[in-house]
Order: sequence, then C-alpha cells, then structure tokens
Amino acid sequence: MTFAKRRWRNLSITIVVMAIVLFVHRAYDISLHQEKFLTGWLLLAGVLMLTLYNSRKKLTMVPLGSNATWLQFHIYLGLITVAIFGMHISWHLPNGWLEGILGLLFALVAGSGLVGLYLSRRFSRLLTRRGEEVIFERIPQFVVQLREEAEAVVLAAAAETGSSTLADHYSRQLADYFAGPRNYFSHVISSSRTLFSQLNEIANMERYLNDKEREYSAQLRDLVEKKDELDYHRALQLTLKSWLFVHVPLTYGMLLLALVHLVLAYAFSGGV
Amino acid sequence: MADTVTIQRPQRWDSPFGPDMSEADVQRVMLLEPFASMDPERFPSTLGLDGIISNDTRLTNYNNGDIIVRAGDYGNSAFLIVSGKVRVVLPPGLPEEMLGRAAQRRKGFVEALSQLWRNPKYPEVRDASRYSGGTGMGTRGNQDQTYIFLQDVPSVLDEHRTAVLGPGEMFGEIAALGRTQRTATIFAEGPAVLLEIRWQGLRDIRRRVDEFRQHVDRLYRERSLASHLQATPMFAHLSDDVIEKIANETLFETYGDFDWHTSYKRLADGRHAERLSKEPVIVAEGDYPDGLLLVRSGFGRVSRAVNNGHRTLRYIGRGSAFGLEEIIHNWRNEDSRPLQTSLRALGYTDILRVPTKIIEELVLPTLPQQTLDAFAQTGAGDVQTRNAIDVKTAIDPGMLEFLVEYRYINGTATMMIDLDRCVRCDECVTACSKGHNNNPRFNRHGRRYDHYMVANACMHCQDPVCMIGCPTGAIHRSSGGGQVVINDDTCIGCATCANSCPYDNIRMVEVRDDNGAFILDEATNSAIVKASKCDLCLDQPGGPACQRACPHDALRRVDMGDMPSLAEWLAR
Repeated sequence: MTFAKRRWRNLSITIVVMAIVLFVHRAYDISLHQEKFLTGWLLLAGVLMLTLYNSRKKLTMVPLGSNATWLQFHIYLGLITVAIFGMHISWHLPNGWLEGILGLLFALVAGSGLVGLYLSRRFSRLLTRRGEEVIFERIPQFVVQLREEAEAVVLAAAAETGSSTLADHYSRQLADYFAGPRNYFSHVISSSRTLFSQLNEIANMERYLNDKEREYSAQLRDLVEKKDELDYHRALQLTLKSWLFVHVPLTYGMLLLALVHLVLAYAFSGGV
Repeated sequence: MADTVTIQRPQRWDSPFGPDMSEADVQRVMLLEPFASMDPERFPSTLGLDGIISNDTRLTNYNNGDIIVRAGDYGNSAFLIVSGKVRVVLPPGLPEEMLGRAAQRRKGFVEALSQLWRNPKYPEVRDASRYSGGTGMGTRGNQDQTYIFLQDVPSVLDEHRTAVLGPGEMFGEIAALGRTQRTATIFAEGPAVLLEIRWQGLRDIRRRVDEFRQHVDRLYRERSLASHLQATPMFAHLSDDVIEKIANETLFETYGDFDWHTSYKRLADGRHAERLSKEPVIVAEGDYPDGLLLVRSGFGRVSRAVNNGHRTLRYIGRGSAFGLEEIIHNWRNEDSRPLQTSLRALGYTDILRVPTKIIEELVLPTLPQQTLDAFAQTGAGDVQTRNAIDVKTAIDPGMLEFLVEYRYINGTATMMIDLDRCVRCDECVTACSKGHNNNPRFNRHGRRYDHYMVANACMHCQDPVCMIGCPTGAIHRSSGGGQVVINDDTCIGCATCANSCPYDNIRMVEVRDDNGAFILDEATNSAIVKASKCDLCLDQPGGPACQRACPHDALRRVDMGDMPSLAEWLAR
C-alpha cells in the first residue's frame, strides 16, 4: 500500500470515529446526561492508549505488531483526542487554574506531537539531501578529526610559505568554528548564512595569498564546508532526538494533573 | 624518477589448493582412475593435467568418524577416495546438532520479554561451558585444518541408513560445479585418504576430457535435471516421458567466474562499460534464439543496447527463463525475430539450454492459448518474473543498475533503508541489540542510491559465498527458512566466512564471560573470537526486530528475487 493510500484510509477512519463520538456526545447532551463525564473518560482512555506507544517502543522483542503500525495508531488517535478535548472544554478556553494548566499541557503535548511529526517527515528528507550519512554519536569524533586536519593545513602552509596569513585567519575566524558543533539554530532553519559568511571571509583573505597559499586555502575551504555539513547533520539529528524530551515528560505531567482533575470532578459532581 | 617495482603478474596457481602436494603425490594421483585414463595431450602445456593435480587438488587424511561433507553445505570441491572407505548418510540424514549446527528454537513470549532484564550487562557474553561439546560430535585439528567428527560411529551406523563408497569412487562433483548444496552427509569409516579437487580444476578437466564431462553431465541428468525442468512453470504440465526427452536434449553451459566476489568491488567502482565488458555474454541482442535458456544457478543481467551503452532491464536468477518471447513469436509467425535483449553472466551463471526445436515440438503445442499469451507477453517462463512487465517500468533504471552493480541482487533479506523516512533514531539498532547479547548485528551504514541505503547487514544471500570453506560447518543455512546462520558453539573463529563475505557483513567479535572479562585461549592467552552477523532474529518471536522496530516504515528486509514486491516497496 502506498503512503498516500494509507493516509487516506487512516484519515477516513479517523473522521468516521470523530463523527461517531460527536454524535454520541450530542445524544448524551440532548438526553440531559452530563456529557463532560463521557468526553472526560474518553479523553483519559485515549491519552492512556497514546502513552502505551512509548512502552511498546521498548518492547521490540515481543510480537505486538510493528512500531510503524503503532505510530500510525498513535498519530490518528492523537487527532481524535484533540477533537474529544475540544468537545470536553466545549471549544472554550478552560477556566480555573488547574483546568487552565491542564488545558495548556494538553495543547503543548498535542502541539509538540504535531511538530515532531512534521520534523520527522521534513528533517529526514533534508538530512538525506545534504552531506554524507553520519551516525549522531560519531559526530564529536569527526569534529575532532576535522579540527586536526584544519590545524595541520594551516601549520603546513605557514611552514612551507613562511607566511602567517592563513594561520592568522584560522586563529581569528576559524579556531572557534572548528572547536565544536556550531550554528545550531541557523541549521535548524536551513539557513546557509553562516557558511556563506565563512567562505566569504576566506575569499577576502585570498587576495593576500600567493599560489601555494591558495592551494592550502582551498583545502581549508573544503574543511569548512565539511564542518558545516557535519554541524547541519548534528543540528537536525539533535532536534529529531530531542523533541521527544518535550513531548514525553509533558505527557506524564498532564496525566498526573488529569488524575487530580478526575478526582476533583467527581468530588464536586453532585452525585453523578 | 623513482625505480619502478616490477613483479611477475599474479597467476592462478600462485596459491595452490594443497601447498603440501609433493611431486611423488602428484605421480601417485596420476596413476589413479579417472586421471590414469585421461590423455594429457588434451591439456595445453600451460595448464597440464599434472599442473592441475599439483595445484588444484590436495590429499587429506581422515580419521574414523570425520565428517567430510555435510548435507546442506555449499561446496566448491569434489572428492576422490584414494584409500579407505566412507559412508554416505541416506535420508533423512543426521540431526542438525550432530553436524555442528545449532538446533533451531524460537523463544516464547515470556522468554523473549525476559531479555529486558536477563540480558547480560556486557556485550557478547557467552557461556564458555557450551563450547565443550556434548552433542554427539566433536572437533579436532587447528585453525588451518579443523574437522568435525562423529563421536560414536557404531551407533550412527545402527541408527541411520548409510551407503558405502570405496577407493576410486568420486563424490561432490555436482555441488562443486553448480555451487549447489550438498545433498548428503559423508563421513570416514576408519582411516581414509581422499583427494579433494577444487572447482577450478574440475572445470578445466570437464572442459578437456569428454568422458569426464559426460560423466558429470550424466550424473546431473540422472539426479537433478528432471526435477529442475519440472519446477519450471512452462514444463510443469508435461509427462515424465516428455520431461525425459527434453532432459536428454538439454545442454549445460557455465559462464563467468565462481570467484566473482573477489573482483566485483573493484569492478563496481569502475566505468559501466568496463564492468559490462567483464561480464561474459551468454546471448547477445540480435542473435537467433536457438534455445530457451534456464538459469540453473547464479545471476544474469538482461540488457538492451541504447546508442553506445547498454541499459539494464532486469536481473534474473535461479529458476528464471530467457528467450521465450522470441521463440513463441517465431513459432507463431512467419517472420523470424532475433533476441530483443542480451543476457550476461553476473559473476558466474549456470545455464541449461533447451533447443528451440524441442520447445517448438514438445512444449508450445501443449500450452493453453492463454498461458502462451502470458509467456509471450512477459518473455519469461517463470513465476518470479512473470510480473516483470510491470517491474520494468516501476523500478528506476538507476536503482536497478545500482542493485546489480554491487550484487545486492544476491540478497534474500537485504536491509534497505528509505532515508527520506528514516529519522536516524536508531530504534532498529537498539532492537537488534536487545535480542543479541547487547551488541547489534549490523551497522546502520552502507552504500546509497538516491534516498535509499543498503545497510551493512547480512543479506542471507542466494549464493552464500561465506559458507564456502567453513571448516566446521558452523555457518549454515537454517533448516527452517534457509537463513544463513552461525552456530556459535562450533565456530572456531577462523574468520574464513568474514573474509569471504563480499559485502563485509560478518564481524569477528571477542567474547566475554558473565563478569565482562574476555574468554581467553588457554594455549595462547589471546581472546577467543567468534563470527557474528545478523541471524534475522531466527530465535525471536515475530521475525526481524529491526524491521518491526522502525516507527516510520523506513526499513525493510527485501528479497531481491521478488522484484514485484521490491518495486512496490520502492514506489510507496
């Protein structure tokens, strides 16, 4: 099945489920039941099921369906819970500090999930199209390697040509750049401004170089570009890994508050 | 200018099969049949019979119970019994454990789950007591020459049906020449001396000695050809008599080089035209279709000329047919259509050529119109490529060339990663690690084409060259699904498999005890190493953990022989 077909199938099922929930919600309302208890319990069940996905990811050794199937379920159930949440709060901003925080947490969890989904689809493509494939954990090692290569180039240039122009430029402009990962935010927004600026500086410096020095300068330029690609991969991979550190803890925080909200709702329900 | 270093161009016999073969040994072998009755004049001076015996054979002494070949192994040599006798184990054969293979057992749900807390803290932890045997077999020898032996030959003879082979008898020629699996286990009964002949020598003898060629061909005709023909869809409906007639007219042909895995990497990085020039042409576009070609083993590249180049249209493997479209056309019409595409050997290819006349007389008139139309449309008389007409348009030509050039077509479970979907989360690596002693059995790294990567994971090849030469048979095909697996208990760490794997997908790992200390060889004090690779989670419930763990449907274990499924996956 193509992704497009799967998307349409899952979206259709989601819309049908949403319509059923909406219908039942209206029926509850019309029959003078407290529909907030219905949507509240549905919401809690939905969030608990969504939370199970994180546990499932850790149990890869047992046959409980593929993670990909679970993720699809997670995404579309997530959309359904957003709709249920809307019904639960009657499409108004919650009042009261507890409900306010709970609503905010829900919005942050749902929002971070959607952002994560977007990043997963967008950044994976961007990573594929730029530079060599590199394993995240090995990036620091490659940075060190590039730094050593860059230092070797400027030292060799100084030794062979007797000129300190390249070495001066390196210590002034590039030493910090090669010292570690740089320009995180520029890379996340796919801006090439910093690389352009670095290359521009090198081009300006080349006015004062002789032919031999230019050869070294070309090597340095290659290393600058390689480092930029490495920083780019690090920035995007780091973002892909770290958005979950927002999504998952917020989920557990929201669940705790939801339990408090549940107890309070029943405590002040007037015997429903 | 620095002095140029010159050496003699490396020759085939620079590394003899048996370095210990003395002149006396060669003379002794020359007096044995079938060599004694071979006419040395049929061999060129540069490739004499004595040279073949000296360089392509070796004499080996076996003790009582030593296993010479195991059923299911891939061999590249045949054996001639010089003295003593050997026993052929008849079906159903010996138990897997007795052959030095792991008993296949899948973990239950709870046992699989318990890996979460029962996995050792350190990677590659082994229970050293498992290496002391106790399965009815043992090993003897050293790193260079190791044999598995049956510990209780009399009880094996009591409990299993066997046949005796004596001096002068030969076995293993079919498996060696066709690189197919050994069909029976053979062990020495009492001391025996055997002459082992590697396939290169066998091939040269077969080429020059008619009697030997007829002998091998007769064996193949008797033992395997009929079943191969019957397994071909277009012959499936024919009676045994007709199959026999076809078998009698079928010609055997071999193209290319068995040792393709040693040269393909160098060629893969060269120019396309250069690579093609190294691939022997089996039939060329424009030739008259004088026979239906059936691929017996190996792979072939089907290509069409495009101006000054050749474009790959598809690859075909064992069980595929070539040339049927043109044969059907010529049979149905007055005009004669030549072959529309070329077929080249990829590595090596064994071909069965059924003459067109036989097809026209015995096969085509018996096929229903509808079947005939289907075969005429696809040009392939086999199930595998029956959907080829769709595949041709579905798989990007560049991808096809990539898969063929790097021989990924050999894989039955090639790990392909769609990098446009992969978020580099390494869930696949973590899942693999959890099921395998805290050490993943693959690297999420490998060659790329477009947004696809073929990761460094064992592909469970159709032609598993890694299995050739394993002295203990530790690397073998599982009896269940045919996956290539390693029995850790009998692996002696010789690295033959790792060195043979053309894709660098087998690693040698140093094993540890429960405390994390390396297990050492008591003689040399060096760490014990074992071969390690993907086993496709054979012992885990639910199949390959890597594929199941991927949240974004980015990773797939692909059977390259199933082109329609591959095309469907690529076109998602």
